[in-house]
Amino acid sequence: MERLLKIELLKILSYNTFIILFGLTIGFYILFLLAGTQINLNIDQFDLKAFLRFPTVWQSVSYYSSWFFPLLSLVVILILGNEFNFRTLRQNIIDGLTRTEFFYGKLLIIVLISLLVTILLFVSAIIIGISFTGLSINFNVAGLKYIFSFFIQTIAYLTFALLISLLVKSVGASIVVFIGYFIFELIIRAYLSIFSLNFANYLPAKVFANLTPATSLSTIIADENIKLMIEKNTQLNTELSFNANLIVAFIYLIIFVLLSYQIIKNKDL
Amino acid sequence: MRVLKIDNISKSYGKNQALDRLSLNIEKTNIFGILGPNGSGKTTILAIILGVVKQNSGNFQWFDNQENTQLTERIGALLEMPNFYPYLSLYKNLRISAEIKKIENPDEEIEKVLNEVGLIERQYSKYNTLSLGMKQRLALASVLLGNPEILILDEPTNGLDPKGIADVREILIDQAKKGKTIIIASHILDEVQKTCSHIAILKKGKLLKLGRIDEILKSEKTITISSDNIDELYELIVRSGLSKKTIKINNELIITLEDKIQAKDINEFAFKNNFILNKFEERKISLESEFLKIVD
Repeated sequence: MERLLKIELLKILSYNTFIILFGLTIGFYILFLLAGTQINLNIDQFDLKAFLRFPTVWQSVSYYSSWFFPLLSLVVILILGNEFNFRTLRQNIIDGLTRTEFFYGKLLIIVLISLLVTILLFVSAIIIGISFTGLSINFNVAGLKYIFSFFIQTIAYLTFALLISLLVKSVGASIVVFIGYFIFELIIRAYLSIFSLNFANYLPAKVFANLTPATSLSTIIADENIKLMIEKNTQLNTELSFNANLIVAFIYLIIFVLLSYQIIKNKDL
Repeated sequence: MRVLKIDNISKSYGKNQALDRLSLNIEKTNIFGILGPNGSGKTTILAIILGVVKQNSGNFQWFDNQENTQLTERIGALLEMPNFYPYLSLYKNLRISAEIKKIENPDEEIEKVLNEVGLIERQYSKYNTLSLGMKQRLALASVLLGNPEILILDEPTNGLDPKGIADVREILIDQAKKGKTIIIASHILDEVQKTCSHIAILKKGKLLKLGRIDEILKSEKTITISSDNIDELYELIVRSGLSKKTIKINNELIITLEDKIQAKDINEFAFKNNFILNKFEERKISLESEFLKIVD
């Protein structure tokens, strides 16, 4: 495993496009996060800072992060597309890497990237939470499940990108298909919602997005009565529960990994 | 000792039959040339034995190893164009190959092979700054990395200047002297004739000829003769049954002899029939002429 990781890191750590894309994503993430914490709106009955206090901060920062890090799917498409484009996948196999090892190498990079951004999210949430809740308060870990589901969400997006990249090969076309799929699913979901079909909740993009649900608006309502009323009215019976959604996401993730592996295993290179 | 057994391999891409029940064996220390016109299946068979393309039917076996496993350290190969990461230096590209091949002292090995192909001065240059000839040399360095027993090279002299071609030939002959088995697919017949000990000629995925190069080249004897009455002599030779093929060009006859007929038999035949030959020359057969004869 160490050898495979070493090989993959040799390939990407000197690749400027990877460094720039990864760096920009992290840079903008931190910049917007800092800017977000500085918003100070004084509106009666609303407490905007509630998003940034424990335990809500875990969910808020996970939700915010879920808008940024799917961008890293482009990095995966780029890395794999290059292997086809430069025909280095073929050369790696000729040099003696097995197809399974090549696949594990790419999976390791996906897990490593997901782990790095999850750690960044965790550290950001702790810093923000402590800043707005104070050190004296024992920070609540109840929302930590959102950190885990964010980790799964990132791996799911990246493995989906891996699968598309293996099917399409070309970097440009893979990016179009990847983004196109999310737009396509959005249209399908809108169409299914006309007929109130719950099936829409099981589609991949919806399942992945639901792994990091938006913090309820009721969080920032100061008046307890209004808060209860909003919570009651916004409960959607059609949505999957958090745990059920996590299981479905896992199933998709496993399907993407197995399909990708089968393609690499059987494709003429 | 046999290093590779190819048994009845077929491969098609859609309707195009790239290989048709190809079988051949390659022995240790052979310099084995695979020849054939474009689309004959040369690269496809190399891609199959290297594991990057899957055959539709048939099998191959390296070193009588049933599973074709643990071959990494024993084979060095280049298929078609050199394939490297263009944004990485020569050193880093070879470092990746060294890690894949599980080479124990990678830095030492990389320095050795870069010296061997004359690229040590450029080891920290990016791959995309190299000329085509240099890229080909780097590919050769990658093949030699880890001192493999078998070298597989697809068009190794592509893009090289005459000096580069001679250098590659020298490297290959040097490697062969060290007891390596070398498999080359090439279009450059002169190079193959100078380098290879054995050849296989393919056409449309079928094996047309296989054997030692010297035996293939002497398998058909050809002579050139001329005489005053060339038309009459031509008719006589054609009817005599001494030749497989007789071609008249200007005032000369180019005669391909039947298997058991010697050049002196033609001389005697002409003399007995009152022809005085003013030219009698045994033709040296080039691989090129033999190749063209076989594939046409």
